[in-house]
Amino acid sequence: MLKATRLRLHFAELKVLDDVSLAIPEGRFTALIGANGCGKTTLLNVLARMLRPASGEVLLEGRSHVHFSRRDLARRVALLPQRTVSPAGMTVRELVMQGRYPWQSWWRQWTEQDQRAVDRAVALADIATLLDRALVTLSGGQLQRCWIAMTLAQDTPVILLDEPTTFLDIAHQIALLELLVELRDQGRTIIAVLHDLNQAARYADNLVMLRQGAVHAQGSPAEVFTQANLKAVFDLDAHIITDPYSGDLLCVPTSPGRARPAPPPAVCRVGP
Amino acid sequence: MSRAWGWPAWFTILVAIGLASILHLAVGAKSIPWSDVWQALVAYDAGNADHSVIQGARLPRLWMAVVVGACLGLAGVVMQAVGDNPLADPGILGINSGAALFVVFGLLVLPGNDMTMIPLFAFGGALVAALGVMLLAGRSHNPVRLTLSGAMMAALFSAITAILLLLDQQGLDSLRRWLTGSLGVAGATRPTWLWPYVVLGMLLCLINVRALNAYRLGSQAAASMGVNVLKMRLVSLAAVVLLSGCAVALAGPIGFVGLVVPHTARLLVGHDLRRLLLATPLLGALLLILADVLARTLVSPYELNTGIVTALVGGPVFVALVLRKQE
Repeated sequence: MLKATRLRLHFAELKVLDDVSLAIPEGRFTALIGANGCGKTTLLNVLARMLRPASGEVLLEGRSHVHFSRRDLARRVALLPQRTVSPAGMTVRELVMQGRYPWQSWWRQWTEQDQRAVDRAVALADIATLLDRALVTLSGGQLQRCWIAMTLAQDTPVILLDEPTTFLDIAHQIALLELLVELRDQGRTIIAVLHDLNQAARYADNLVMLRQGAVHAQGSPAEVFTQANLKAVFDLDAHIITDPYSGDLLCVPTSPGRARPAPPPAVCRVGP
Repeated sequence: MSRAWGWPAWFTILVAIGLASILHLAVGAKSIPWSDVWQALVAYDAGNADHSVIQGARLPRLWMAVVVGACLGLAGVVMQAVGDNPLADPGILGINSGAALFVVFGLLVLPGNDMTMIPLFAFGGALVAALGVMLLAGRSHNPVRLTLSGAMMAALFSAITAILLLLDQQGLDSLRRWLTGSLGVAGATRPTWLWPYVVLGMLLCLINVRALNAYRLGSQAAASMGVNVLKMRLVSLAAVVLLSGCAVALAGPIGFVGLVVPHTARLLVGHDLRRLLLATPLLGALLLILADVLARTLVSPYELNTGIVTALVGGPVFVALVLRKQE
């Protein structure tokens, strides 16, 4: 469905994307992980055609996505940006309704289908009680859920999310990830930049590890979520263990500077 | 944010425009009773001197105030929306001055021009000024820098205009009133050749309204929703150039209308661009009618220029907006 071939992009001297090729599996949940500044957000923005790569192309449904009009692209791919704004005087309802933008036109105003998509998005993001609130009055976590609802209202087969769990408390983080899994089960293709490695390993079907603008490893968590890869990508010393309850992989960083105090010496009996 | 007033706001605006219009027709060098004003409109008697004053002089001038006010109000709201800058206004950002300079240059320096060329000069000047301000302000998206660039452009264009006029003393006398913004100058000649441009400018705003609304969420979110941001900016630029150019061609550079009107409109009908694009031309017309009434009555029997009245009203509003933004 979404495929990137040989993407290169540099800002001045800095190589941000260096020969990135990716095939995003359709109907799967792909997580982009990597250290700060490794190009995750840039890659996501290139996939959404927010940025034009210096070379290489992104294929959507088999053709280069520069051949899609903005509207046609927006009917297929939605992007939740990392930073969002809260315009003065806009309510949650107006925000979510904006998500229907690519489906409307001058001669095709609000329809049943628009209303159903908005209702579904509101229910999925669990924001029914916030609908009449002004955006400026919301907390960071509420705001994030409202933006997610707007992205869902766009009703696209591909959904890109840039660090969607930021600003959310742990319960809402899990709720969001469960929501993404639910959307995947409905057949949508999810691509998210995630910071929490354990959440990425647990919820994503496909991990893409980026290192200095290049794909370091790609595959199922079992294949790529390894001690060696974490060391290479994050320069992190960690053990990979299996969660005894779920069977998911967990990384547990070791703290070399804070070694566990030596166990008390066994009592030696010196005696005759 | 306070909720919009809804339909009472629209009703109030329309009634206010109606009352202001009748007032506008009634006052002037010779005060005409309201009943005669009404008679002149509904049962015109060619032999009645008062009726011919109303139909021949005051009604065209009222119509001028409505069109110029509507153009400036619309241009202001589009500039504020697309520039994401609450201080944007065709006057403050130098677009009116640019249009005025080109008109003066065209009429005084280039030989053999007639009045029909005025709007084309005005559009050219407005376009040059808008591009100049955009270049100066850069891509930094800094409201202060944009406003300062505009103020500088306005000062520069006004200075060049003053130099041009010093070279041509006769031209100065005929253009002086027009240059401070006056509805009285073109009023008599009924420049019908301008209407298509006004209508085109308004249509461009209308085409753009959905994109402008989505753009409130930021350019990245708008683009991911399917807004062609570049196209939206170009259409907005064309609309602002057409509307400001028409206003300048009709009445000279009148400032602050495009600043005051959108802010008032947001208080009355909320922030949705669909409602704002309807409310700003109405409120712009209302403001300019009232300003013109003041211009003709404050120092009666003399007449102030309308642009001076709008500056007197708009200057304090501008300062208030800056202060509120700093808090």
